[in-house]
Amino acid sequence: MSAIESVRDRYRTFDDGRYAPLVKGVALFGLLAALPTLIEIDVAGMELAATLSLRMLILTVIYAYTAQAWNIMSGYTGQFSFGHAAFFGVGAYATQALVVDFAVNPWIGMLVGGVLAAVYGLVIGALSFRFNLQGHYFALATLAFAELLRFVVTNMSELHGANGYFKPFPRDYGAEYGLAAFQFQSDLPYYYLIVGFLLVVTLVSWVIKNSWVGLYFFAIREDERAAASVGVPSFRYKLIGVAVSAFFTALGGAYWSMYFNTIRPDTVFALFKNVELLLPAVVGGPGTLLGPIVGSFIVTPVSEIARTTFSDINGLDRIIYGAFLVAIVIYSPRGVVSWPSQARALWNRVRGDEEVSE
Amino acid sequence: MSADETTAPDADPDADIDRDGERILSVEGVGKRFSGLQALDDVDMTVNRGEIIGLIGPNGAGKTTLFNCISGAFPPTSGTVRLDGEVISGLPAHKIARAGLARTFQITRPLEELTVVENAMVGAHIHTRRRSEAREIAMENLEFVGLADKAEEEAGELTVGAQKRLELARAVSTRPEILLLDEIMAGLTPSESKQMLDLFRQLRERGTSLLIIEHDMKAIMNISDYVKVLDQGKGIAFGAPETVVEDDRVIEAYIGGFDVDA
Repeated sequence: MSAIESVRDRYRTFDDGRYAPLVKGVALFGLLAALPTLIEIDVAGMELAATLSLRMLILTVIYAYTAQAWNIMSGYTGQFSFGHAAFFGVGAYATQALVVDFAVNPWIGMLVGGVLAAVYGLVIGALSFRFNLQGHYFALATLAFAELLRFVVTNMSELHGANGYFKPFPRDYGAEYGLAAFQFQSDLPYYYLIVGFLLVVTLVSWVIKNSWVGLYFFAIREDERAAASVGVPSFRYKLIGVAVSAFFTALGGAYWSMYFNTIRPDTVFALFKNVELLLPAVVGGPGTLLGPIVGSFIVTPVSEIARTTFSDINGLDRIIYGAFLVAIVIYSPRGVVSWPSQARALWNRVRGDEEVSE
Repeated sequence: MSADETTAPDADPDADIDRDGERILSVEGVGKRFSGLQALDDVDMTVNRGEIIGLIGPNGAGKTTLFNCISGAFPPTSGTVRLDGEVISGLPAHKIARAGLARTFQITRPLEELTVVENAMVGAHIHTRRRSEAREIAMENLEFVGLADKAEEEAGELTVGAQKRLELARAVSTRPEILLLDEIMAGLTPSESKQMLDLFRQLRERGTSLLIIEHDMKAIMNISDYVKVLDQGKGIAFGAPETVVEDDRVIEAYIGGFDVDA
């Protein structure tokens, strides 16, 4: 037995073990926590930090977070949402409106936003599922519901119309810079906060995946009629998926509104926001736990670097998003995280052929 | 039509023969109309506990439509279906499954990207929310159909024969009182068919009733306690296999075509 094989066998024994998810999770989030330090390490005169700023890391983890939230609905239950900007925007707007206009603490605003988004999701879901909208038709319906909000908010003077909100200082709502105020004076705490958000939504996803709820979700995705024939109440479980996903997406929007200085209908409800929110999950591997995170680390830095480097070419980042989307959908619909197992299958096939030919 | 000696032409073909046992399923005057086409017309039939009933008829007779009406894929336009005396017609499919009626599909519908054991677990979760318990039930039933060694494979990778057995395992994992099997033996090799018939007998011994659509006449006559014959949406005969095959209407329905009055 070669050394590689023995390592592989040991890994398999570990992988079947009870603590494997815990060890993997600690490793992953340990790496994420160490990233701000790691990018500053000087390797042969080159610092990753020169191109990969902390701000970019924050953006990457935000989209990893929202993709993980999108995944609960669209990756697990298979109801492809093209309108998650609706939930994202509701989270951002609820937070800012309550903080600016009523001096409420942003954490409370965030939770209110989450609940409102979940309710909006239930309305969209109940209407669409009742009329049995599926596939493209469902995706278009969700897009329409997101665009609807953009128009409504743009024309509502109560929500400051097209001007949107400017994030207030903590003292404006009676707080000091820090966790309680949801505002910090440097980027590093913001980074750890969004990693914390990602940890929570990943834990929730893990719990769902490892319970009957997740199995019902996947059964619905695979074949709703077959699932119903063995007792899966698909209407109810699809609604659960939408509500949970909308809730967490809205928390992402709230974070966004507390990290960046302004929100406007054409930023948080933007048509393109819908793509940004889902693309990491699609690229990384829809329906998987790791996919949205890996996907965001591929998609977000590349498009951000392209956008800042070629700032004179308008919309280059979107072209790159489009290229990713097309390439993945055509060549690898199960996403990047399926590559190792596919490579292994290919390798086994090649080796198997050799053994036969010998 | 010429009157024949055994059955008077106006006798109700759905009339039940006296048979003992606890009534599990009763289909009462069920009709189904698809815009203009009367797919089912006033069909009556019953299934008792532990019985194996064959449902036969020429293509387009309405056998699968009747299955769909009973299992809640769509509601019948008229009539009533009862399970253990409770009306189930009009209920959605998942509630009917939870009431104790499971089915398989003519064209198999595996949950392709899930593993074999997960497919069966979806059925088992009717009884428990605990994953470990669902897994146990699922594994028992995979062993029952002989798929335990493929438990961790993806269901979409299975051969047709194995997919048919997986359909059975998934349905049995709901621990149904009655199982509706839609051409589950079609496409199986002779030895696989034989195994399947054996599984039917074991299920019956456990007290599960079976209602079976099958085209293999030899198999269905061999396994069924009673046979119900449909033709053009109507019930035309019911009885023990050996009497049904001699029924003139059944022969006519199957050979069909020629003008009896000529």
